[in-house]
Amino acid sequence: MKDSSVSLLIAVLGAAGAVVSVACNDNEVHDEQVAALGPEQPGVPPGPTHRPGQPCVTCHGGSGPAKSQFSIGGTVYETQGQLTPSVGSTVVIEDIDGNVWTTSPTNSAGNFYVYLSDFAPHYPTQPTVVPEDGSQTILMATHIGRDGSCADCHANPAGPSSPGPVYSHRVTTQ
Amino acid sequence: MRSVHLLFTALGAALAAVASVLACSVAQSQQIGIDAPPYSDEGFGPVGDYLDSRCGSLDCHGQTGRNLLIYGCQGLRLDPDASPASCIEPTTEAEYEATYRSLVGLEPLVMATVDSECAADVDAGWTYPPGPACHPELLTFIRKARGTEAHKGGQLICVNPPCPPGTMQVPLGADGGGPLVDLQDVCLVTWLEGATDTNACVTSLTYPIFPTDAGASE
Repeated sequence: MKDSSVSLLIAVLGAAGAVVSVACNDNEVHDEQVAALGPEQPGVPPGPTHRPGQPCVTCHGGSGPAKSQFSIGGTVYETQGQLTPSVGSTVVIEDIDGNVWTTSPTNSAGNFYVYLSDFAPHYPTQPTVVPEDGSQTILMATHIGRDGSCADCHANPAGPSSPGPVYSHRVTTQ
Repeated sequence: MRSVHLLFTALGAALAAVASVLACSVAQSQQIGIDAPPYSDEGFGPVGDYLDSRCGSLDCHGQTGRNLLIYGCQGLRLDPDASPASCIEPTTEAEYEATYRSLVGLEPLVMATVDSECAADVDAGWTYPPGPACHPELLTFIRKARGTEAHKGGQLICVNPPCPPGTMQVPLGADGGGPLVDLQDVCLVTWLEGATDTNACVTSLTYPIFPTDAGASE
């Protein structure tokens, strides 16, 4: 084979490789969203208590990198304006078809999640947070239109586009 | 000779500078308007409240970056110190106006067409259903809400049964003798006609209707 033919073949293969590479990396937005979450917290390995307060479904939504797939996931804190995890709370989610799902109690990090295989809600949904002692229930003031990650809207701190983290107990003032 | 050439060059540059300043002044003194139902507290306020409640949640059109951006006390706030999802601080005038601008600016030419065709409805005795010349469905936001065009949030308004979950049709009119309609559609269409049906908009604040809200829980 002539040198020129070899060069041409290498060029063609290189170009094809570049095209395949670009085609495979077809969800740059998702990759950026995952990267923006940063590394794991020191001492907290991936698992049910990792990354409290982060948007769970970003990684657990089917596009990876997590293998388990959630329909809904979030973190509940004790009271508005502070970050003590609410342990043992449940979240009751009703979808527009009237299907109701009650989550397992929030874990030591305040995290809860719903496997997509268990409950795939038909949006919109309306969630209610019930603390472990059952002393009160907090119905979300608005409905959820499409997003399974609580933290996509309930980011910390509160601001013009976030009401702040989800909490289980109202603070009563006298 | 060279001095004369320089002089002409300098004069030319100066004239060009003056001309460009004048051109900017003219451009800045003109605003491009959009023919649309006029903004007013009475005319758009109830529509803005409905849009905030139904479409403006923080994961939908209350999300910065959407083409149709809806502000209000149940979703995205304009004031950086205001809190969303809480109407303790009610929707402000500036937020109503921002929603209005976003809505009428989505498709300016189509909005102008719909405005010109629907504005005559009231004088001609039409309100809802609209007159034969009025075609709200030309607007993308109407088509998406009605479910006749793909919409991530699904069909929100029921013009023709079967109605999707969360919506319903009721008889139009105080005597209940009118045709079956979805009051959300009445709210939007009457606004486009320039005669907002405030009652329809207020009733629409209860949408979507969850089964437990409707008393159908098990």
